[in-house]
Amino acid sequence: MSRIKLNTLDPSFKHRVARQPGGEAIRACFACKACSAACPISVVDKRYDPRKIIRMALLGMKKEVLESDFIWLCSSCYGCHEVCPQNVRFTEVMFAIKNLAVAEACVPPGLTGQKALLKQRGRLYEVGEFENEKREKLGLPPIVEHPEDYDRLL
Amino acid sequence: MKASAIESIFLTRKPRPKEDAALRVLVLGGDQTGMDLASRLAVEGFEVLLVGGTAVGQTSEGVDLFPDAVLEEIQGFVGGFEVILRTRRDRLTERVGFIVAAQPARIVPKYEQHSLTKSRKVISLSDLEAGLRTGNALEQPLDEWFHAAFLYGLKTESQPAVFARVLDAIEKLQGQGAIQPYVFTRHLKVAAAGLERRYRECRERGTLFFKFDDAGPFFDSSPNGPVMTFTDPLLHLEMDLEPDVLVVDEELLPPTMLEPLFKSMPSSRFAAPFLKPESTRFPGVETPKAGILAVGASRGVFDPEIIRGDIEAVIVALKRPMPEPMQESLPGPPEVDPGKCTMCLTCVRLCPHGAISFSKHAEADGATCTRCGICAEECPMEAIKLEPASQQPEMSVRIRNCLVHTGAAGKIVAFLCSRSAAHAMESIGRQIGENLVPIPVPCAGTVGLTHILSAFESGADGVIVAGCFKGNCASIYGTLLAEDRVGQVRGFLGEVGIDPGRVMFVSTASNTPGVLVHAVRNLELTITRVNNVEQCEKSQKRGSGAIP
Amino acid sequence: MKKDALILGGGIAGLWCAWELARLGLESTIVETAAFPGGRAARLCCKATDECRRCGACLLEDVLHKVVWSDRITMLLHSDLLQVQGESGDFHATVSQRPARIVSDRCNDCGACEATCPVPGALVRSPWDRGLAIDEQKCRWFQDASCRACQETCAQDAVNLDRTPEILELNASTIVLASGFKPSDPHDTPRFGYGRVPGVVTGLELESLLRQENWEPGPSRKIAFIQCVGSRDAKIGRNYCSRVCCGYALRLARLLRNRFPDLSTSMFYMDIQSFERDFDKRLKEIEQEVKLVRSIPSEIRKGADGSPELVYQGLDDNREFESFDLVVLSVGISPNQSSVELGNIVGASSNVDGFVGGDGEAAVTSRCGVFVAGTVQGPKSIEETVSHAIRTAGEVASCVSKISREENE
Repeated sequence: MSRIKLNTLDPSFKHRVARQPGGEAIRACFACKACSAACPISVVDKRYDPRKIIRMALLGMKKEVLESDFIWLCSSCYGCHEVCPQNVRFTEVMFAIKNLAVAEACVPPGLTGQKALLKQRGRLYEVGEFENEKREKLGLPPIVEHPEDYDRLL
Repeated sequence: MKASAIESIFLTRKPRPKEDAALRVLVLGGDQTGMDLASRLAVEGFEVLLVGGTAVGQTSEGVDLFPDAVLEEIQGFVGGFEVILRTRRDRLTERVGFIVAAQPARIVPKYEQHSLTKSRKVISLSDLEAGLRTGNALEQPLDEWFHAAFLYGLKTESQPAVFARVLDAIEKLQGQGAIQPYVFTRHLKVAAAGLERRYRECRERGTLFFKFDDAGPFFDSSPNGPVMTFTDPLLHLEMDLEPDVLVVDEELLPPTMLEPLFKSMPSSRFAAPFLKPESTRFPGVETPKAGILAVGASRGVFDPEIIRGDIEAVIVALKRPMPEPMQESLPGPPEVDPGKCTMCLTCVRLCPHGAISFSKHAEADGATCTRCGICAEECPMEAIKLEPASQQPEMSVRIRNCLVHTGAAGKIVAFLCSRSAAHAMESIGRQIGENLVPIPVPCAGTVGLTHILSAFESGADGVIVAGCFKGNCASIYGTLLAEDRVGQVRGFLGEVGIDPGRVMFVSTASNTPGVLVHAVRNLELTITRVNNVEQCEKSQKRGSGAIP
Repeated sequence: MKKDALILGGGIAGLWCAWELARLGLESTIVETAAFPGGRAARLCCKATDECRRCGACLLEDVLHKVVWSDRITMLLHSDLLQVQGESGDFHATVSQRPARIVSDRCNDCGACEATCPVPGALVRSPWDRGLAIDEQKCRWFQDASCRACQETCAQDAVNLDRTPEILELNASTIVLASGFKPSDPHDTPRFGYGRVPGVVTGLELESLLRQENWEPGPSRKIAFIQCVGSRDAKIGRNYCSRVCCGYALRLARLLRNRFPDLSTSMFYMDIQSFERDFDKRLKEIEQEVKLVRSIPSEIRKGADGSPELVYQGLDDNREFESFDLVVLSVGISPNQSSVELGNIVGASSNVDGFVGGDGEAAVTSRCGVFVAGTVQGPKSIEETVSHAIRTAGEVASCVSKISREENE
């Protein structure tokens, strides 16, 4: 990656994130690395590191943060949230960043696909006759798709 | 039940029983601290001579200002120092009871360390503060945000007091518009009241902190101004920044005009450039020399809150009655035999407390001398005699008496420094046996060949000299002298038929009884071994008469 | 008989303040709840290796010797303040003095009582290894009168469990609160495993271990220090730096390596605070001696072999799992519950961090005639505590002199 020019980055981005519900405490981070050590995703994908995401947001690397695919990797396990000594509440910050991304139309295809499925079926996974037959054998009630409920929500 | 002898002069404003100069204080100042101290002293009934600073400003009654004066020389002792001040026109001689070094820190911007030169956009923290005070408008930024970069504690470590100033400056700057501050640092110093909280507030208002573990940013310049290149320590990405202002931090150093004070205290070279050594033996504002006090920068303290406390400490020190109630039981200062004194000035040049003066012969000042006894041991003519502690006989008599009364075999005489080993001894209790003969001495530095030989002559099998740890001697280098001397004595002992292993030096503190016990055990083992060897040699000589 | 100052707390701050007041000709009474004076500093070890490391622990011994000889200082041990009435210039304090259950004149230090006592820690040895006292919080006799083992065992008849507390009425012009601090509770940060993972201790516990001189680290010879435990932590409401932890951890690390040269020490930190002059030189030495890791672990767990294992983000941003023989939590300085209670009794308010007294390094409090000395007011090193106690003595003396002038008018 070529050298990043700080002058061209957006200092207001961090304040924008802080104005989003959930993002209020992003600026409080003092980079102690406790969250990085608690994050389960970080072991699998080194690009995903709570501390690094915060850092990029604070520096104003708006494009890199919002258009990236790795911000969608957060499993919302709250591990980082628990260990943070400055109450950054990083899981909530991730929600705030993801909302900002959607607002800028940076949505990964997977998410659009999920939205379509919910709209169509009311579920993420298709429930077919095979599943309902099995359920009947076990004495469980069948699952019926109610897409109209989700239509109202979405 | 009030102690009878000394009335508290704090409760009254009667002059001290000694000379009237005792009520006069020379304050070496130069900023608000000096002014505050001078005013405070005047309110407490002292007459103050304030050197340095400006003539402008409120002067209390009782404070004489000498803004252009420089202290040239000091003679004498607490209660009656003679100081020579040089002004532009005159040399004045004044008599004062106390001298307080309360000059401000010497502030040196770190341009050189970063290979930077001062320019329109590259300024020091003090320059920025001055600009903010006069409300000078900032230069127009290159883009919509004004990028302000601060260097703090890179290359060399900084102080909490400087971080507080950086935070103040950022706060003031941010009041002026769309400012994006950056702080480039190594270790942030937050160990002072309120700083951690302010650090968080600073982050919440948008300042970005870069904490480097290595060299830090590189500086270059473009036609527009400075250019900084660095690798972000968290993202490991190469970045650059063209700040609209680059603020260089500053070193806070002790003041320079302390030379005359150094000259009055031979031990000062161990403390220089500070006025007192970094030792827990001199609490608060005390220095090794009575009557000379160090406030703030001269003692290595730069936090304004703590300096305020130093001012109180000066008042406390000056208000103590002389002599102090506890000092009444101290023996008199060492006696110098005029018949033996050759005016070699060894004692004058060696006394760590600067307590010895000379006219026809050397003389120790009673109020400055701490009775450590270093002079008595170092005098090449043996002209100085330390008065024994009250009700104690002279040292060699004491050694003899103690050994006579100890029946046990394998006797060890332990010369214990009264400031450390003697206290440690009290905690030892059952661990040490009857064979240890403790002899407290004021400072290990007073123990020498005579004492050690005296011990062996009176029947000791071994000798321990226990001094304080290096850096913790109340007479600065008493313990170093003692250790050195024991080394010399060991070299000597062989020639008089005593195994050098019978003498050892050990460093202890008042809270390390274990170290003393350990040393005694080691010496006991050595004595047993040496005794056996000597026994063997004796019986061999008696037996065959031939050399084996 | 009215004293000039009533000093609550017989640790180094209270002792030094009393000493400075005595030197100024003023009289004070020290009220100390424990059986022995000295407070926390009495349990600290000397950090000297080849030279003094200026930790300040021996300052306590110095001042204790001076205080004991002063006839202007009265020391009340086993004593607690019950209430205070009156105002600056004329405070009336009610103090309850529990009698010494072990009579020191008769006790010959044989240790028989310690051997028979069923409750660990109920018999407390003096920090100077001479003399014993009973901890009434732990002793069964004081809970339900169910055990008199020590009294029955003592051949010297030195134990007396039956004496009742005495109520004393004291009168003083000023009050000085010098009741010290509480080490930050490592249970507040449970992810570090204190009390759950064996081999995790606090810095203070390590000092006590080192005072014993016969302790050894385990087989792998690795010790880790975790900094800022209970400090710089907004989550538990400790928004301050405790100032002393970087200094004590590094001094302990050096002491340990001096005693056990094959030991390796690591320090996990955020920022290293200076604690000596010429810190640049010192930092270079530290970098050679200690492995410095600028990362705070997310957790400490019990490893497969039973030793504590740290989980942290390493230098290359890799997840590291490293085991140590001993993990030392560098706990900070936090407000002491009894200090807060005493503050309430004397009418002095606390500051935003919960310490009694004002902000900064003040010696005065919100109540006229009531002063603070030492860590009761905020984090300080031992040397800083002594400077603070001197400052407090100055303030007290000014106050007393003002009162005396007013009385004479």
